Amino acid sequence: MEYGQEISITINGIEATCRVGELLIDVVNRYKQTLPQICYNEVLGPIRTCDTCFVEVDSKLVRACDSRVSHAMAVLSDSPSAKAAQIEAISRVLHNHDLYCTLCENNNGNCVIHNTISASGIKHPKYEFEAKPYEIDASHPFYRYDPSQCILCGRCVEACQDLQVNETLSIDWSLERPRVIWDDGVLAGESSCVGCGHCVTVCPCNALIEKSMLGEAGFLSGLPSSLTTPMIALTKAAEPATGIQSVMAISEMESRLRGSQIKKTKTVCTYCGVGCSFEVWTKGRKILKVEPSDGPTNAVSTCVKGKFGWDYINSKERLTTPLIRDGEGFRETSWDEAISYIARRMREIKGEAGADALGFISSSKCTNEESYLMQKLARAVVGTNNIDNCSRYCQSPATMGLWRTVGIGGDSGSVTDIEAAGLVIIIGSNTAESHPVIATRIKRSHKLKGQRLIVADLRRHEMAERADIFLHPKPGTDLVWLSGVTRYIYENNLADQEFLTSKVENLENYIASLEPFDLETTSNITGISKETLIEVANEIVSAKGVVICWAMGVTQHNGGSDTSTAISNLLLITGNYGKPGCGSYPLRGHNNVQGASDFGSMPAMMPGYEKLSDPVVVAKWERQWGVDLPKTAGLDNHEMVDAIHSGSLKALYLIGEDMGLVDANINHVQSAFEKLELFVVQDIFFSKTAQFADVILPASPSLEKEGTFTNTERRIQRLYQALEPLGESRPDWKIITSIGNALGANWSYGSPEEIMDEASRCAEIFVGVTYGALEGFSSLQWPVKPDGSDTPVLFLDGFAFPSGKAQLYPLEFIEPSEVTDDEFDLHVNNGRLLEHFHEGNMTYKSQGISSRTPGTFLEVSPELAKERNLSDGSVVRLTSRRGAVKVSVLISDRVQGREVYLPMNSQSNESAINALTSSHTDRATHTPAYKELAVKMEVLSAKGKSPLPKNNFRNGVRNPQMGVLVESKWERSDYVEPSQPRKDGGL
Amino acid sequence: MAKAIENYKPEFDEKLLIQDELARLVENLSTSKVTELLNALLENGPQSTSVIVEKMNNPSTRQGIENLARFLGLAGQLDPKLLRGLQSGLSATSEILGSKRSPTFMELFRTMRSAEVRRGIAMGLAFVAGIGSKS
Ligand code: SF4
Ligand code: SF4
Ligand code: SF4
Ligand code: FES
Repeated sequence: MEYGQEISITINGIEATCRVGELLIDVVNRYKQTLPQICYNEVLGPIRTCDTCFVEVDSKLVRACDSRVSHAMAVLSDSPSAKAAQIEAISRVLHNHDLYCTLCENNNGNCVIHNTISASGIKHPKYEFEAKPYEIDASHPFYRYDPSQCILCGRCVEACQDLQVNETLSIDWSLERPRVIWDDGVLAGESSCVGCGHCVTVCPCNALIEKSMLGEAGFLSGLPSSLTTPMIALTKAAEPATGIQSVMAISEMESRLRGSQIKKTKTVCTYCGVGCSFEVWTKGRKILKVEPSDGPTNAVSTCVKGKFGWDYINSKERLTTPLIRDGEGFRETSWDEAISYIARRMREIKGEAGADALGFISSSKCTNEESYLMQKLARAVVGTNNIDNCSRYCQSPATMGLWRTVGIGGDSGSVTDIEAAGLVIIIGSNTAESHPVIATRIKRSHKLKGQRLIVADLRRHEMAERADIFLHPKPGTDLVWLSGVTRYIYENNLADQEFLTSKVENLENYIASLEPFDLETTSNITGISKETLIEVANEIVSAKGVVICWAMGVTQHNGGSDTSTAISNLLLITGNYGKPGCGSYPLRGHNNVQGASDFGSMPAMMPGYEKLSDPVVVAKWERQWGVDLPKTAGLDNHEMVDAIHSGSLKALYLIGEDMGLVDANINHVQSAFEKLELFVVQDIFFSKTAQFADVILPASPSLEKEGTFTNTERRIQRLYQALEPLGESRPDWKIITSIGNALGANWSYGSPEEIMDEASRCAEIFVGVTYGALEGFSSLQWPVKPDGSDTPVLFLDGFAFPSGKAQLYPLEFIEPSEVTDDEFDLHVNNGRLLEHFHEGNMTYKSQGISSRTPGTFLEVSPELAKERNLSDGSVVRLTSRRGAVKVSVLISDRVQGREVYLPMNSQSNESAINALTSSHTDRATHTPAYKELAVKMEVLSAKGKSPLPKNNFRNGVRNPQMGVLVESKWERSDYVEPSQPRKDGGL
Repeated sequence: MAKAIENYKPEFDEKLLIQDELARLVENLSTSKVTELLNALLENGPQSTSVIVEKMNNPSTRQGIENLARFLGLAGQLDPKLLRGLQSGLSATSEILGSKRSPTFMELFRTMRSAEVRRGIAMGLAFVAGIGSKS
């Protein structure tokens, strides 16, 4: 029989249709036949440790999670022998797990062990619980491990080894009483654990649990052990008379009561562009935990920020009332006063200097609806196209590269396509730290499914370590190697000719433009050997589907748009568009950096990337809004700063962006702020930027409002309100509405849904978007057609140009805007850290994160350290042509030679990377060339305390292995399958 | 010209973190769980106890629950003082448990005879109140 062929089998006498090769347990579950199962989880796949899922197949006992449909088999999950094996296995589980559900924080209706035992109907387990001889490990800031409650199912290990692929956890099967261990047996809090929380999320019981749940979930949790011990003993003493099912019933009742104690709200992560969605569990304002399960992008996955980094919501640094500048300080004021002051000043400035004297900057942290309103405020109410958002700092060049070549500025497909590709190329992205959950999918496919991985980067970061080929081009020369490889492929007849003929235009011009990129020249410019370039070309042409992921290492250069274009050109030449499992994936940085642009906060584009230069478009929006619109493109962020300096821009309304720290060349930016006549800053914190404001408006973060975010896959997802706005703070859409109305807009939006309805009525790519279609974990990937069907994979029916064909785009190489010389002799690379988001204004509020990563540091190569006599903790001053910073050194072989790395997680001018960066920009989009930076170094003190605490995960030593190694369990002399009673004292 | 105002620190009223009147009350009560439980019983009582009723359809479970209910001596009222009762009541039990061996049924039963201990344990498994009203 052929794999995948449809076939009928029987389960407990019922006919079931399935496919050859399908996992038996999936079929049993689909046909809703009761079968205990603890270690099996669809996302993780079969682990085969718990033994509770034994069924009889053609009179043989097998694990349902370890058997595949192979013929018209007869399956019995309820035969006496299957039942006996299941009960034996459950009894063994209870030997390893004390049932005190009513007292347990995990008794929330979704405890896998509880539910399995309850469903099995077992009355009296055969074996008594026996605690393990190990202490509870509470050393990790975010979770704790109780070995005595651990049933050794290995779900956590599987998740850590093969899903997150951090390779920290294993089960030590050699111990008399096995347990989970971290690295080679160190404490969790001193291990390589990155705190992603996968293990805690998938643990079927309370052995691994979030510390924030302890003593909070449940009515009897958190009692002192002087109370709980006798209570448990009492219940046990009663058990011979009552059986465990009655105890289960009582605890189930208690778990239902928890429904009113704990509120569960679906939300979307507010950090990076991966767009993980999950439920957040709250009790009053306390955040008990984040529970990922059904997110379309992430399933059970998260990184440390999304899982544990929510303390900022209740931070005492939250702004809770509007503030207005008053002499040398700010004073609290009412909303009425703040709004009418802003409206009066905006009117006055517009009256004196015209609408274009005002500028508006929307935020990639805010919702789509808020971005839409912000641009509507600028255009339809104030009358200027001076509207932009912070994607200008990172993503615009990637979008430009795609507009030029394929016509749509978004990821070609979904994360599942990245996962399915035969080859993934990552350029200028430390995906494991900047887009952690996307990295998990790549690491998993690479580790388990033979996916190939090529990484081009200056740093030997985690993805580079794992790569099959690691390229270290000279800074700023990615375009050259990409073009060189493309030329080699074309010249050697390795291109996808059929694809080129039928789907691509401008081939000749483009090929002519590759002339300068012969292998010899390419190798000379990039420093990559010819052999390696050929090797890369061969990998690309022999792969089944190529995906290229890139990020700021590409875009933040003066040729950022061009390099992004070169990536897309390469994909076109090799036919890697328009089908699943391939394409281009600019990895969007912020949670809603995609949506902020999608919904029109751009100086030359209306919502849905409709061009302002097209009179038909403008006329349409004028009809929609009932106003005359300004027709000329406005200023982008970068131009706004220059316009302030030149005196033409006098007022700025900026939302949710610490532009005074994150824009390049901050001295220049901050001195511009000083010149503004009106500066309104809307934020949740008193940021560096807010210090320059005339009025500060307290906004509400994502958990306190409704709306939608769009992730890097163009996926629109809803967030629901979990908490009330803190103090006087308000959701941004409400604040923008108030300002609009004070300026005479007469808006009556009652909810974000009404705003979305308006946007989708008019913007073509969102036309089928409705809140109804986005209920719960449902999502839509734009473009969305009127009938509500969305587009997970782009370009299936051609490219977004009138001809339907893609456009190859000729390029030439331009030298980086700043290179090292004799004086400024070090190249500074910069970017994110896993645990801090951006400059860290949200993540530093998490005690657990900041205790292990208290500040930024400068990564220095061992070679440079030797040359300059540096050690961990040396303090140095870096001086660029614009400014200087003082930072502590960390020696690391992630960087090489005279290249150093300064992460951007600093909140003060003293160590902020952007005190060094220049005002040079990408030629096409004005994205700052953050990555083109030369400095000189001065040693201020040779010795000092290491900036990285010992318990930081970077100091841990991973323990890679393939999953939980269940074979080691089966090989133990005290193990027998549960068709027989366990050996005395055995597993 | 608007220079940065660096030294300003926005005021923060900690009471804001306690969401509503009731929650504020809870925060002030060392026995906050009592209030939470009361709320939960009021809001979800009937729905939650239905699980017991469902389980009661199974004769052996019904027997078990009845045994357990009898064993614990059903509690009457929920009372904020109960938690204290529970504490003192159970510390008596812990004395027996202090010795390594498991307590015998009779030993446990003897400690249960004290009204305070009974009340305490009833609080400990306050859901029993729900069972009481159904059975
Ligand atoms: S890295 Fe840490 S938190 Fe993540 S799965 Fe591994 S052990 Fe758990
Ligand atoms: S800690 Fe790991 S092995 Fe133990 S029960 Fe939880 S998931 Fe299973
Ligand atoms: S920061 Fe990114 S990867 Fe981490 S949980 Fe949030 S969306 Fe997911
Ligand atoms: S579910 Fe099959 S062995 Fe655990």
